[in-house]
Amino acid sequence: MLIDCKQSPTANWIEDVRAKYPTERLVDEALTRKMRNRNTEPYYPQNRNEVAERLTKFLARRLPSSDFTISDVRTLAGGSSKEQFAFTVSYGDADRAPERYVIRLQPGESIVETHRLREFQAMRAVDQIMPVPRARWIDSTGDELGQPALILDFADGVARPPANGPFTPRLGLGAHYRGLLAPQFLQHFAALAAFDWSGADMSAFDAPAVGSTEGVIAAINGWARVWEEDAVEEYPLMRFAEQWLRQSVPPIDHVSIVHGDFRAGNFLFKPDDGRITAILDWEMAHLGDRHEDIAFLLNPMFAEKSEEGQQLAGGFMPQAELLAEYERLSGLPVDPIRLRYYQVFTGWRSAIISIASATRCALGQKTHQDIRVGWISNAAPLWLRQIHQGLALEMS
Amino acid sequence: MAPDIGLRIQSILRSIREVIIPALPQTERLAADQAQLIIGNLLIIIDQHELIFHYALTELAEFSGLLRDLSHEIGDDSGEDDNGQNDMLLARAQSLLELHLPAYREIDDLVRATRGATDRLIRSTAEHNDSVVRRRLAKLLMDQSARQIERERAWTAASGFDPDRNSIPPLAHLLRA
Repeated sequence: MLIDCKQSPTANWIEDVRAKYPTERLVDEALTRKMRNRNTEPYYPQNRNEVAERLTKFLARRLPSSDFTISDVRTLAGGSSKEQFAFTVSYGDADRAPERYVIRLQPGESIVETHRLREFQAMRAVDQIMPVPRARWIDSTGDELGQPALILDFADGVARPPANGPFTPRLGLGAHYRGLLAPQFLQHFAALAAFDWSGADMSAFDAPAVGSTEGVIAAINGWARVWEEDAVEEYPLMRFAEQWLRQSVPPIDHVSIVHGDFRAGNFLFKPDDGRITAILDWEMAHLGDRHEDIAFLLNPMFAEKSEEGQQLAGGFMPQAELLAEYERLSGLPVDPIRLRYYQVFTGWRSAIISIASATRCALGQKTHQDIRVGWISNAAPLWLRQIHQGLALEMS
Repeated sequence: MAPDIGLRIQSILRSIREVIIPALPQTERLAADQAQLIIGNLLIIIDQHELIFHYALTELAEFSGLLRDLSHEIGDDSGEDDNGQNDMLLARAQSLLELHLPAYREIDDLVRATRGATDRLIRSTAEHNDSVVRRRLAKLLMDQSARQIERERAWTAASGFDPDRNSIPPLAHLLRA
């Protein structure tokens, strides 16, 4: 296995990369923290007793009474990035029912290195317009909870239909659940793009101005920096794509909250009636162009075939139908030129995650599930194919 | 090739040691025993996987040498009528043994170096003034990338991520003979 200079970066190396790729303030903070912690011991999952002990101290400083107990701490499966535990808080006051929460802890390194305050603010901003677990408390430095962490309300539901058989990345919604989930999904997806976030506390984000390209350049810098910090080998197509993205940035026509990973598998639903109970995984949320979320959803990796063999974008419906419905629900146009740009952008961004960061954090044994982050690297050829197809179209 | 086989095995070992075994109930002795055997086998594979061709070639050298020496010693007295089969075997073995088989690490280091050199070249061409040259460079890169992506799709096909798996040629068809 490769051990290179990035595995034990000097302070100068870190500062040089920061200076070369100026990006949003808190993106910079999260990435710098990652690099300063890189040359440390492997990360070991926290045990449940430690988690309960830290939570007790943390909540004692925040709840009105210290007369409470924490119980039923359980490790949650799913999610490739954060270590998650569900737990119950029971109160001495017999009139107050026990409450179930989830803590999302940042491991040593993640496939996406993000800032807990951004995730916290994004979830708070949108939980009035769609089902999102209420973000209750935050420890953005990890001083109290051992690692930077969020505490959220527990949401009931499943991320994929119950199924038997070997693991497969395909969700296999099937006709029944597809019929129930597609209209709800589209409604939330469109609502996010149209949402007026200006009244929310989004101070952890650097908002781009309408008509500008600075926000997109800052995002390209952020991802190019991740590539520089994490890649274990060069990939000429990635460099070429970065150059094209910088040269071709479309000005932003409407500033939306962009989720960054809005797709089937990142929401929970009730298996009995198919009601979506929670849109999850807001850690990549940022202020930007809605076409980024649309382009990401349209990657063939998330597509499924209908029972009649028709290709369904996002696993839900034919692409043309999905885009038309999105325009109707959001009241915002889908611009094919911007969409093509963001298909290259999201392919490039996702390839950085799956080629560079997934390999890097497994190499340093920095996560609680190296085997899962390594598994994600198997998706890299699909993202590279998306980049290649997009660039080929532009060059033809 | 990232992650490489060694890194994949390292991650499997962590998962078994730090997640699966601690979660096994004390009463599940057979499962615990099998988990330890999986660890043992993986540790062997970590040692072996980069050297499998060298090991096979060493064996080929040893056994073809022994066959040649025994045949020479016994001469025509063996009583075994092999119709020249042994000579043919020895000739095939000799042709393989004459090949230079580089160490996996040697190849991997060179791949990394050529990737890096190509990347630096691409960086430098961003500012190239001649648009015709830029277009020709782009075409060369895009053609090679298409082959690279197809090979990587085949390399990872078993993961099930690729919805278009049936369109991928068999991996062996995409590799150097």
